[in-house]
Amino acid sequence: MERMNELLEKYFNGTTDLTEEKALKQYFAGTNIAKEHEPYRALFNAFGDELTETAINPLKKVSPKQKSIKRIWIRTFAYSGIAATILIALWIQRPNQSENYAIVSGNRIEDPEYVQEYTEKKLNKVNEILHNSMKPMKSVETVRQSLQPIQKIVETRRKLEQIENNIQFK
Amino acid sequence: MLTLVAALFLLVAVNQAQTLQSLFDKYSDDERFEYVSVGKGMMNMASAFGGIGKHDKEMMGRMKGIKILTLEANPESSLMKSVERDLRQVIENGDFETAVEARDKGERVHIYYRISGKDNADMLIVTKEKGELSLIWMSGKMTKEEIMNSFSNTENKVHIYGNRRTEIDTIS
Repeated sequence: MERMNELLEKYFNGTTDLTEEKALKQYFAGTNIAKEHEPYRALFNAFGDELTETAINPLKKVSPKQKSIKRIWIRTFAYSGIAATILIALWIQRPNQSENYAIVSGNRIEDPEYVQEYTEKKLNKVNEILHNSMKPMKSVETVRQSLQPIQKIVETRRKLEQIENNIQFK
Repeated sequence: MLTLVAALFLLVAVNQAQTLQSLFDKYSDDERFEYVSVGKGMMNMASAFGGIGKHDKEMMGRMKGIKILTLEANPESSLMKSVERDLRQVIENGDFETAVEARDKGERVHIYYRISGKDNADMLIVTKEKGELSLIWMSGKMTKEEIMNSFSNTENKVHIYGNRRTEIDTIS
């Protein structure tokens, strides 16, 4: 009896070990329980009932989320599409200076003004040579124009001769 | 059959272009040469500006670009002779016809022309003077008449496009 009082005191102080708790449970499960200990009987019997209790709705097993293969593929395609779009946009938007450039002494010059002046210089050189070589043609044209008054004199003389002939004939 | 003939014609045209292209490719990166490339964008810009004659404006707008290759070297040097040999081959094999030949003192100009595919023509201008050889290759949609007209008025000064001046002005 004394022993049970000690064990109960220790139990409520939270200092009992497993063996002592087992002894308490066995005591309250039996029929030889002291009257003064009756109030605690329901408490210790409840612990016994809990051991035999089974869950009505068993807990669902929670497993880490598995990424589906389909989702991975969709993501891969989406990222690839975005990357391709960015690359195409960069390609379209890139500075279009590659067509206008000069290479002088092995150095690439991407200066449109330099390219423009160089091209103009070369084309004007061609024009200049053509212009100079066409000068004789222009001289011929000048001579032809200068001879036009003489041609008129010749024509006038021919007309006069024709008139003279006509008068003599009459 | 017609498709095959068209394909062959296209193939021949492409090969011709490659020959002239390969000549420019061969020497464009050579340090002894000067090389200038004018793209379609700059040509379009030229046609967009005012002041240029309507005819020249239209022609410039249809041009794909200009490439210029210049060599300054002794006329008797092996390099000059090698380039001239390559050039002769390109002209002979590329079905170029001579449009203009002109000489002024020690300077010579040869203008060659060819049709290279549907709606495309190449004009190759070769200028030779003492110690300098220049090849000017213009390509685009242009007829022989248009090319001749552009050079017939030789008093005109050429402007590709101007930050300063945009019009074709007269020397005299």
